[in-house]
Amino acid sequence: MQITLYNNFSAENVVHKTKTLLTTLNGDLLENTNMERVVVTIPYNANYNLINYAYIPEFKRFYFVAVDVLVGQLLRLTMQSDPISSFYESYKKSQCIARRSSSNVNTDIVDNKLPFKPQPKFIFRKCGTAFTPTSSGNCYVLTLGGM
Amino acid sequence: MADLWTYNGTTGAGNDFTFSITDDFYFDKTDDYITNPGISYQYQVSSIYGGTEAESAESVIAPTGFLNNRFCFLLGNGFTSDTGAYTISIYGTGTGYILNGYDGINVDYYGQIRLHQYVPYNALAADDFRASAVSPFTFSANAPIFTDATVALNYLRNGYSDSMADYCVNIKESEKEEESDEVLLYSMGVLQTWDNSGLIYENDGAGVAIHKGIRGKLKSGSISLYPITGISDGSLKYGLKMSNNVAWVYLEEVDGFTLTWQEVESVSIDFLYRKRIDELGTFHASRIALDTNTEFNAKIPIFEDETTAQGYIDGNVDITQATNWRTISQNYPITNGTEDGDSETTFGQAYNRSFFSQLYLLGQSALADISNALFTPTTADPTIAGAWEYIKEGIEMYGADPMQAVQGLMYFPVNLTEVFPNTDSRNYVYFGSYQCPVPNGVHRVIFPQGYKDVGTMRIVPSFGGTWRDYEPYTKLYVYIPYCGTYQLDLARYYNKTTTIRYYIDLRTGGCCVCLIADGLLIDIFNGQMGVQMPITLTDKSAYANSQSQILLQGLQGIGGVGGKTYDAVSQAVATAGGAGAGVSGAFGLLQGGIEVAKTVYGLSQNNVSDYNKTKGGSTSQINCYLPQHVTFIFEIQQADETANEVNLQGLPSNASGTIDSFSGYLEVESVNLVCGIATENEKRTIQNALKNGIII
Repeated sequence: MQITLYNNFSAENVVHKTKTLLTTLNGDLLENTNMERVVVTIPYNANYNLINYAYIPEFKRFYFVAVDVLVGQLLRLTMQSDPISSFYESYKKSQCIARRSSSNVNTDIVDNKLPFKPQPKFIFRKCGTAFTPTSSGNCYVLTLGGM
Repeated sequence: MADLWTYNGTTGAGNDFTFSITDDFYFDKTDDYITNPGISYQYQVSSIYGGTEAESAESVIAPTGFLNNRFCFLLGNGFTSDTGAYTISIYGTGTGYILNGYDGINVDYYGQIRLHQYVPYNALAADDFRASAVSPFTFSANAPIFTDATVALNYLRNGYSDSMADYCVNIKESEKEEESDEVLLYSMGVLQTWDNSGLIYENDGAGVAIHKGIRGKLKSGSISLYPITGISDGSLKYGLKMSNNVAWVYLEEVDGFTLTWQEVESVSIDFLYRKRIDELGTFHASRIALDTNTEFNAKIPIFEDETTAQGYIDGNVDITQATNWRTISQNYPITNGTEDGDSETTFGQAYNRSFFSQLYLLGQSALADISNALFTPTTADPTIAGAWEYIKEGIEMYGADPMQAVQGLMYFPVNLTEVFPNTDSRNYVYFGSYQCPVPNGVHRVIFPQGYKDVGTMRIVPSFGGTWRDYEPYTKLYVYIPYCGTYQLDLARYYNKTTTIRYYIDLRTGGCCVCLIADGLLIDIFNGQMGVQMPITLTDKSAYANSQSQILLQGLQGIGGVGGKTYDAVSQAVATAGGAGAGVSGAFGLLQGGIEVAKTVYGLSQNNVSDYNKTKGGSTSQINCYLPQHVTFIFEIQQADETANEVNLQGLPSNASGTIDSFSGYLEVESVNLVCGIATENEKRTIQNALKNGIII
């Protein structure tokens, strides 16, 4: 069984993780294991502190790796599967309704995550013609009873 | 009229001319020594000299053009004889004929030929003649006889009619009556000019002097005046209309009582102008006056406009239609326009007629005209028919009071003739049936239909029409002068051009403002624009009372506190504590049938403001001092946006599709997860991650 060890930079929820290959190991399982959670013991590796991600081709899974340093120049790797990255090609055709998205944005929907400042901004726009309360022009109305 | 004198036409030096009086001639004066008709008199003039005033010519110039010269007799006065006997003087017009000094003959340097002659009671004794042989010359013309030297001079020099001659009056009685219908004497003159230099200017003194004074007389035909509007400084201008046969004389100089006239064939003016020189509403003492000199016995009719004045000249308009008919009419009381004098005046008839109210649009100068006319305490200036005298007479006669015809005076902060085009221009208003001239002109409202657009505004979303352009993130208010500030529904105005249109009620002063977006009426607001101007004390008390009440109500708050309760109070308040109702009094407004005060005093809560949550009471008068522009106010909430928000947490979407149709951040509302090789636990993990957001 082959185990490829990586140094992973991405967050857990990133599908296509950014990672650096460290080494590839080949070996045989000495104990029974679960595909979601695999624990193996490997010889000491000087870059053991960079090991946080792995891929096991036989299980077709990526794993998040926790390293324990054992006495006697051994490392114990506890690996938990990363289904988000492992099975993307399988579930990527699943239908969904996005609540938020970077790509398919609907500007008519209120963004409740957008914080607002307490003070609003005011814009004044005057309209063209003003009244002119002066005494010029025919500005008086005299109402008379008469012919 | 038959010739009284015969001139035989013989000229030449040394010739005399004789005058003989025909049989039907009478000297009908108090000192008429000649009372017997049919007496023939012969007078001789020894010689005739020509020359100027300075000359004492001795040569004899044959009289030429005698027939064209005027001669008259001056009876009994003007020139004394040495002997104190009655004199008959012969005057000739100024061609320079001077009679050589001769015993008993005086010389008039201005061309008068005087012959003093003893006039016996019955006949002339031959030896009374100073002359030599009796001249075969006789004078052929109508030679009128005057008893007044000034009148005689005017006849000789200034072309005055011989109808002024005494013989016409006293002798030809029948002809005089016949002629008096035809011979109409009109005159007008500027008795005093309005500046000390004695000049009349067409405009502010910068123009050319037109005439210092004008006086005209005509034998027949007609002349009329009409006011010309358009002078804004309160001066008066009158146009003249005259028929063709008017003879004019031109006043050259006024020096105390001495009038020097220059005869002209025509005048180059077509108006008379009285300039107002002080800004306080009083006029200079000078005025265009109808001449009351006893020489002239008629006055000129003044008509309301040029068309009517011309109509009178053409004979189509009766003189009784003149606005000053009462002044010039021989009938009193004034007629009712039917030419039949009757005992009822038109003034009194105003209250026997039903009347309809009229709306007049006018400026400050025209208001001053009316105010001056109504309260001018004298009729000395007939061009502004001193109405007060008429008012008093009307009250005495009928208890009528033209002030009761006044229903209201209102001020608007706009030139109303621009708003209401359906008016007619005139130079008078009617108080009942009393016509009051208004030289500065008024515009009578025929139909009060009109509106004023004060501008347009295109309202465009600030954020491209996104959710931030709508409430509560963006709010729109509008400040409308005379109405208040109100919130608008933004959605109705976006991407539309909005017109703000005022409809004005001339009778109540109320206004209705429509916001019209792309031709559709969206919102209407009411307010009060007209400022009622109390005319009487009663008005003023009611007005002040109502104003204070509405302001107090504003402070106390009407219709609830806060919230959207402004609609009720934003309307023109019908009665602010009953202010202004029941106005009455001798000089108050008419009651009954007329909206006196309910909306007259311009009361409304028109300083309501949704914008700043105030409820202020106000008046239309105060609102004249507030901002006069319609103003749109946008209240926009400010977001604290970050540049990487979209990448890290996306934006609202609600889009549907496959997961791989999205990129970047994706947070699903719901998902139909299809994933064949994952365990159920892993599927749950995937679903939870999708709902919490993944980055593809």
